[in-house]
Amino acid sequence: MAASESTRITLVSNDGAEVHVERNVAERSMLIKNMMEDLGEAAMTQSVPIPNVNESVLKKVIEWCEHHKNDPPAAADDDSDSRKKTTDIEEWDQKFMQVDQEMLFEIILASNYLDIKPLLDVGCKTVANMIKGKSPEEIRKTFNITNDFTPEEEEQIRRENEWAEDR
Amino acid sequence: MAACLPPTLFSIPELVHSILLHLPVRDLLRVQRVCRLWKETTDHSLALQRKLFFVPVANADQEPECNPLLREVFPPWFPNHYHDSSDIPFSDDFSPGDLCKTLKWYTDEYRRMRVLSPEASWRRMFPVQPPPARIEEIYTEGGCSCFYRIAKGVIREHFQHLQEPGITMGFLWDVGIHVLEEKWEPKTLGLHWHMFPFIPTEESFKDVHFSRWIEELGPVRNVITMDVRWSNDCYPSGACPSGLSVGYFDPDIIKWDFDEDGNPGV
Repeated sequence: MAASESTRITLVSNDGAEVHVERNVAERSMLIKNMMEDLGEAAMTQSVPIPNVNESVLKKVIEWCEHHKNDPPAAADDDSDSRKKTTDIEEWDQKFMQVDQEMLFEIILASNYLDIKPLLDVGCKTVANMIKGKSPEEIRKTFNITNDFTPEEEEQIRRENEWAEDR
Repeated sequence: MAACLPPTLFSIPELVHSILLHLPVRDLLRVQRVCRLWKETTDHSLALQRKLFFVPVANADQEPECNPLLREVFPPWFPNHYHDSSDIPFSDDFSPGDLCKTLKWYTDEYRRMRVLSPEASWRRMFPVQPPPARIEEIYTEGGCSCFYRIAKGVIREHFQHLQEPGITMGFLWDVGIHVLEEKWEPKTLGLHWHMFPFIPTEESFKDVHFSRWIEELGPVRNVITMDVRWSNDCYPSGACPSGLSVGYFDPDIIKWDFDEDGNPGV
């Protein structure tokens, strides 16, 4: 393909909307990249269904991929060294993630499904930042999580971990 | 509103795990109470257990990292200047009175009770990752105008399992508090962390006490030495703290090289 004119492909969201995108942008998604390789030439003419993602979320994800299309490939998986993980998020990504909670969660789910690890990371960091400093009660309320411990179980965990609370 | 949130995000263990991995240790401990899934995800994740200093890191040769939370809660136990330009691998020597003053939680009765609970999770944490392999030696030295004694103690072989798979903060605490509260009179306790590289400053070379230790330290090793200095002259009697020990500590765990009078040998 010519460098001046990149190949465009068509993605179809689960609500039937067609989204046109440069192939190299869409291939930030490992899922799409693998699908492209499997489809070969046919991918240029056929549209690619994305059954788990709706139009607004798909467009948002593509926006992220567009901005990050020239990022160097992610370093080798460093999950083993989780100590080095920080919750620093670059400025553009911070702004990008300033969406309502529903959209934030949809982006995380979509990046998980589409296998876009750097975007998944930014999403998880954003949620981690929302959790930091909050009490378990506040966290449950914020994220609509049900407390499924018995009072005795909860008290036991409190006994083990409350030493760390700087009151 | 919470009601319209998709229920799926926090019901996928893999995603909960990815989120928890980004939390600092203190938050990670706190969120254990949120719900079963969060607790179970943490309990069953090697990466999170390592992050919490509960399980040794995979690479035993990596540069040692202090447990930031323990360092904050128990400052006297940690190499004092590790993060400064002069990397001195000692905790400050501290007297029982100093100890209580330095522990911010000591005067807060509720928090003291939580910290000194036998169930408190800090007791299972390693003070450093990778964890120190053992307390190599407990060294005491002191005297007054009429006598002077030096004694060395080690952890008895029978109790070696208490040091597996590395020294936990609970064990380090119990041994330290036991030695401080033992029969020799007022004293100071310091820890020597052989696992941190020693970069001496000019001042430390002028200090006779430091110079001697520099010689004795030798190469970096994955062990801790405990150093208790005591004196009957320098401190008012009765300076020993009470109420800092957590439960019963079996004195047989430490084997001292006593002399014939039952005093620490020379």
